[in-house]
Amino acid sequence: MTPESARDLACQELVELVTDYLEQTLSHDERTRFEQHLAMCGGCREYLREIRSTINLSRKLSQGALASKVPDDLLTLFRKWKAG
Amino acid sequence: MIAFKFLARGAVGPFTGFAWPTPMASSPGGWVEVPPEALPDRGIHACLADHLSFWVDDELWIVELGEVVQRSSGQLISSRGRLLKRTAWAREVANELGKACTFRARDAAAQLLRRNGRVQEANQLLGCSDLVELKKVARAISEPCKTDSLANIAGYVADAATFANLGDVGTAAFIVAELARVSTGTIEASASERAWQGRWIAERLKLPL
Amino acid sequence: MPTDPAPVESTAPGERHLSEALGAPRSGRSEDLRLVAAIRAGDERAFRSLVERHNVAMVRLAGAYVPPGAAEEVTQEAWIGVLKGLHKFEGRSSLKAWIFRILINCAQQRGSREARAVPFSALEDESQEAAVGKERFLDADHPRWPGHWVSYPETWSDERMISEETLAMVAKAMEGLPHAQREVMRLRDVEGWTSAEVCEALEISEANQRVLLHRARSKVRQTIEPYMSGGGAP
Repeated sequence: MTPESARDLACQELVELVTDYLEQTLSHDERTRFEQHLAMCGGCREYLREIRSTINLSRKLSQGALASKVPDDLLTLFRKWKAG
Repeated sequence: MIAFKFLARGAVGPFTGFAWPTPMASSPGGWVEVPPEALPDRGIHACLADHLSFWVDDELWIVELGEVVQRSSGQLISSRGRLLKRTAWAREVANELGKACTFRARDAAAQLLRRNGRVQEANQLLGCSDLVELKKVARAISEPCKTDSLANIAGYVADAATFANLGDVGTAAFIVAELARVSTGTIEASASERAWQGRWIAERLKLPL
Repeated sequence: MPTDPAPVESTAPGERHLSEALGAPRSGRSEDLRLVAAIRAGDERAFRSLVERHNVAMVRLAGAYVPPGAAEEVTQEAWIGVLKGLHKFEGRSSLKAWIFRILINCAQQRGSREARAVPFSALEDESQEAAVGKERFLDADHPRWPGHWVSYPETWSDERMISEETLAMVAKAMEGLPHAQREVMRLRDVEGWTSAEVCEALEISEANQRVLLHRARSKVRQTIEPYMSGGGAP
């Protein structure tokens, strides 16, 4: 087994890889290194949680938005266009 | 084959949040499978005793794996697996391991100091019987660590004691393995230390090997 | 343990496996073409369903380029553009991406000079932009842990995760982003688009999109961090 210490990630590197990790675009090896680092670094586990929280908060911005009623003028527009 | 798997509280995969089916009465948890094309990226991961300390988390389970398709980086990957039994791994056991592996680091550091004629500092370390004391003493010895590589070794001990004392055994175990690598200059020493940690867990919990 | 199978609810929108996200399934495209054909044939219900599906998000997105009052107007212009251009739609991109590209063009034309001048294809800030300030990490000359946290980030308060004030702060943080970063994060994280859809609509590469998303999320996190870990509002 290849010991992890030969290819340890530093926290400063990990925070740059977070998006790739969440997008699932890391290679298998990179992902393993990433998760091994997480397993022994509470700081990076917290950081990942915070990025996920940031995303979840952003998602909430689209909720409680305007009703999806079709504005009348759009229908008028359509009928005009249809009429040629 | 039989292997081991750390999960987050509630038998949940710590990285994916996947909720593993757990054993009921006398039957094992249901088989979880991935299609062969998904391997190795999406697969069932577990580990052998030697690598337990890499993956420390809330719960430790004994698992059964299907055919192992890959062994690397401290893990086994298979296309199927199921939970057999939860072990007695708990916070208290983790704390014991934290102390045990940190004191090994202490002993290794003391030996190095003694070999280099720094007997007083070696004895100071060996005189510590708890983590808080060890942290303080090792930190004091480590102060000129940028120029003094032996002082730096004491720094690793202080760091390990700090995390072990906080209950973060995953980090403490890593630091102890790093100390082994740095003080011997070999990667094998790090792997050995990890194996010692894994076997400690296996013995302590009487895991099937 | 790492990498268990993932038949699991993702915690982030768009966090699907890349192979699923790339290219709409065949059924999606033929559905698009059917809808387009119906609208061209004058089917008002088909048009209504399309508007219902996208109008709200379009107005919201237009609001990123033009003053709020003008967003509905711009969106209406976009629908005119959609109707006029329907005969050109071939299904090479998804209908959604095609519609939003029209919207973005309209919005950019109406919007600020800055938004118009900067092409999405160019990375906005060429300078090294770190996800986290380097003062948060130990120096390269640390004898044991170069690049590790000086101190761990503080846990975010549960209370603040659910407060309205927090949402306002996140919205404000996003508004403070450079244009291209804001757009990608808005589409991916607020609107829940897949990365393939964003790349289609904005005509940028996957890699480019990922860099912009990375910088955007990092910056927003950084901006709200002091507040989220229990400090006062900035």
